[in-house]
Amino acid sequence: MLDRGFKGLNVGRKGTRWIWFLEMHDQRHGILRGVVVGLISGILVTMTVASILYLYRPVKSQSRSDPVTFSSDIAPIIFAKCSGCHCPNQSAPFSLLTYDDVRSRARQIVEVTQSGFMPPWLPEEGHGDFLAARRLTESERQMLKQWVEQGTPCGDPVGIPPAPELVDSWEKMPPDLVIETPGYKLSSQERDVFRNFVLSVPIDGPRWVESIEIRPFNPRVTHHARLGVDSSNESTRRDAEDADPGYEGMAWGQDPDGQLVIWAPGMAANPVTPGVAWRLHPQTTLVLHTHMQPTGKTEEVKFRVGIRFAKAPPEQYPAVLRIGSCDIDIPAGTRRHVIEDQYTIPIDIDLHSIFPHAHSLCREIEVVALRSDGSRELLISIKNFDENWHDAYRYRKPIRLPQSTRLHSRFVYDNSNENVRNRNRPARRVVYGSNSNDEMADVYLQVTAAHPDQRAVLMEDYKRYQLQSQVVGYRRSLELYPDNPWSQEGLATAYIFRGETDKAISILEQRLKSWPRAVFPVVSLGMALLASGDAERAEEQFRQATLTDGKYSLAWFGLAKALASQKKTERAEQMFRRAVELTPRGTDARLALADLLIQRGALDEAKEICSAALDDSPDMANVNLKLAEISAKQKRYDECLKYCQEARRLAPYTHPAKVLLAVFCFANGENEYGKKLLREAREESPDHPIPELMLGQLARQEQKSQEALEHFNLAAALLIPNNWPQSHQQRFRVLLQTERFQLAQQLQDIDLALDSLDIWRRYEPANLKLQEIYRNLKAEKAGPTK
Amino acid sequence: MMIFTRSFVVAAALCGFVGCAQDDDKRLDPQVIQLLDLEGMKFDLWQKPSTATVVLFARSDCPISNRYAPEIRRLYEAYHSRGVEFYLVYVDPREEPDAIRKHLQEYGYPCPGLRDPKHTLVAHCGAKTTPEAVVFGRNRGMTYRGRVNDLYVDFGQARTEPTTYDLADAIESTVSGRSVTNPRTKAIGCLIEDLKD
Repeated sequence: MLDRGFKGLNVGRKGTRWIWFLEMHDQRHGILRGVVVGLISGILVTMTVASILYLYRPVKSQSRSDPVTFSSDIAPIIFAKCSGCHCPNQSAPFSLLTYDDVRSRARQIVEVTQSGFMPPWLPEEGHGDFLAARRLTESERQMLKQWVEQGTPCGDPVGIPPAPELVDSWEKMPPDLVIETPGYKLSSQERDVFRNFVLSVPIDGPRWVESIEIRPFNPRVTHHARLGVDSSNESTRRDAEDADPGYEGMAWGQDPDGQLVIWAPGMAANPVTPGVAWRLHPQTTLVLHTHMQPTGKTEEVKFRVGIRFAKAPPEQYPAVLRIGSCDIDIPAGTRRHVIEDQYTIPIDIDLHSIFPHAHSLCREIEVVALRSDGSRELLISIKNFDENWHDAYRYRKPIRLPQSTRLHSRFVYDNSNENVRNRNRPARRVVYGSNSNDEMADVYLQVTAAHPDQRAVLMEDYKRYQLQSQVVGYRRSLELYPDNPWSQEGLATAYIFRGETDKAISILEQRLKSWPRAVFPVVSLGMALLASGDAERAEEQFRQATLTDGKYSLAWFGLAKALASQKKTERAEQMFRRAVELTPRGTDARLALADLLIQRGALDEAKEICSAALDDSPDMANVNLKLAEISAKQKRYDECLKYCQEARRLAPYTHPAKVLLAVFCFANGENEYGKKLLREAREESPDHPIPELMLGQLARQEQKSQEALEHFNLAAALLIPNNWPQSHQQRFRVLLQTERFQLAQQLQDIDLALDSLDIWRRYEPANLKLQEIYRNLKAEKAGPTK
Repeated sequence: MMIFTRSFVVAAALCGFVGCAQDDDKRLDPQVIQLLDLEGMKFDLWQKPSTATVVLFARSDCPISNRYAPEIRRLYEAYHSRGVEFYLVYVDPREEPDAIRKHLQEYGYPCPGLRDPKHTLVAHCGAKTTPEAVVFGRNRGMTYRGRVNDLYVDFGQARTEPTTYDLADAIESTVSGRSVTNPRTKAIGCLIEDLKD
């Protein structure tokens, strides 16, 4: 949240931060940063090795004449598949640990296992090999039935296997940090409660998180919980507004980088993925979004969050992709309404886990991978969806999905009056939205790039898809609820990200008519105005926001940006300093402040600020680049090269380090050294088109036209690296043709000019000016027609 | 005794849930019904004069039963002053009186708890599940047996809000001397038959 607008305005300029949206349940405007990690949860309860071995010993075959007994047949099934939850202090409402426990529910057990209600496990068998599947086999279900038909005999009591001994994994290996929510009294009402608890993290510096685990003190009332991080102070403010601990309704936060941190009853114990960790910054708040189900009496509710820190930074960065349509519009009374969507992945990926998400009308979910070789794989199939039991499912082995695979999702909804789960009585039109009366068709996928250096290609492509999807969804929602603030703000933010600032401005102005004092839309409006070039009006908005909430760092930051773009640098600097004071560990305000300091030659202070930012975020390429810039200005080229190398390591699609250094040299007027570096860069990476392009640029500037032409031809002939995001490719292609066009002008070569313009206009079809120049030139070449 | 109980179960099963004729004439036989209070003493359902008597079959670890506690409290508040007596009848023979006292207190039940370890009242009423409610009229005839309301449709399938308030309607009709519109409904919950000794 905090640096949302800033990022929105700078996508593309900053090297490494490929940011994108993640829309999640009851959460607005989640923005994820590119750095990500593995699905965590943890072993809530582990059975001792001995009892596991006992439980998984071979079960006797199904057809048999001797009686089925508890001791030899039933106990092993129950202990392995049911007792994990059906034991004291776990999520199930009663225990299944003894013969009496099981016998006194025998018919009920047969009923619910036959109907498939228990054990709760939504994915259909045969589609997706998931870890810790709780499903019973057909023979196990039959065995239970036979046992009841035979009168629930105990068998030899001595032969009853030991009930699973429940060992708290936290006792065996305590987390490095355990944070607790304040106690909350859940009243004995009938309605479910959705509440967010806000936790501050007592750490001094940034830490790598290996795993984070949610533990309810009272699992019986907890239907599910999901953990987000909030780098703004928004959730803290909302918490303070509500007299009781936490606040109702929508959460405010984002999934931690590339993570889905979920607690669900009886959830799978997900192993920690090695080499994958995410950064937790001090001053970040954790937001625990919980769904609680009252039990009939007042319940004391409390949650703990246990964090284990990683020893080393991550080796790979997973990402969470949200696929699925937001174009949801289900007419009242429809029994089967199908919503389909697809996303084609631009690179090879490995799929680690899958988390389908919809609300109460959804009946079926299917996600299919259609590979370009024509093969088809059902990634998950749910025939009887129940939002109360949905979970994140982790594949036993990651699934490799090659480039160009289409991920096709299909959701079926029942919006009839006959659907007992229909929250609308009578049924009414339902559109996209995060409230429980709205619907969603989301599939969250945790993935890693098969070739880690191509990650940015995926993230940029996905962001475009995601924004398009959101624009459609929010517009759909606004058709039905024209004043819904969630949709208005969401749509405006999506438009800002897409550069459609005029649309964003008009929506936000509309939004502010009904809520003139809401701070967030004011700041968003400021961002949109700033992006559209109206710095004066932007300044007004940000100023108003700082008056409403003097602690809103983003408002000060925006104000500073608006002042800076009007060249009011002195006051801009003051405002940036204010923003840094409010979020001293943030990167964006510090980098922007450093820019102003560089401008006025205060290089030492700029360097000090950026070095501190690098200590907090050593994995950010743009901080390294800023330090490279400062070092170059100080003529410390060795140091500069080190920062350039680090930036390239972190963002592999950027220019080779020596090219970056060369650029800084040119800026200092050290052209000869720069040229030498470019030649070295070409030697070192002969397949990279950038050194050729830049050598050509230099040659052209020095009027060595023939040499320039050769460089450009070579650059055009080289393959574009496959780790370049599409926008990067686009920029390169346009730049190359611009250079060729300028060269053509120098050479007065109309054919070269026409050729370069012809290619150029294909990359920028919307550039009308370009089309016009091309047509005029072509006409000129053809000569007077009269 | 055993045969007697079984024949009742069969009769109840035959009756099914299709709403057979109101068996207002089937009176409680104190010789057959062996209800115990929490002191272990025999308890007579009719010791207090009432306009109607409501029995809710329960067990302390039945989650569906427990979630109805607020609704039972509301009904008690609405009808006790109009002469309606409420009893929670615990059907698990293993359930100790102390555990029952704790359960009543935790869930804030304002009415007394009784025990039916031999399922005599269960059999008489033909009750199958917890929570299943039974309403007796002034003449001790059963006017209603079934769910509290239709919040639950099946295990794990609950509506956001009930659409019918069957027990409330049955009590109202019984107290006012009208016949109950739906005298038999299907209750969703834990099966009492599992608790037989």
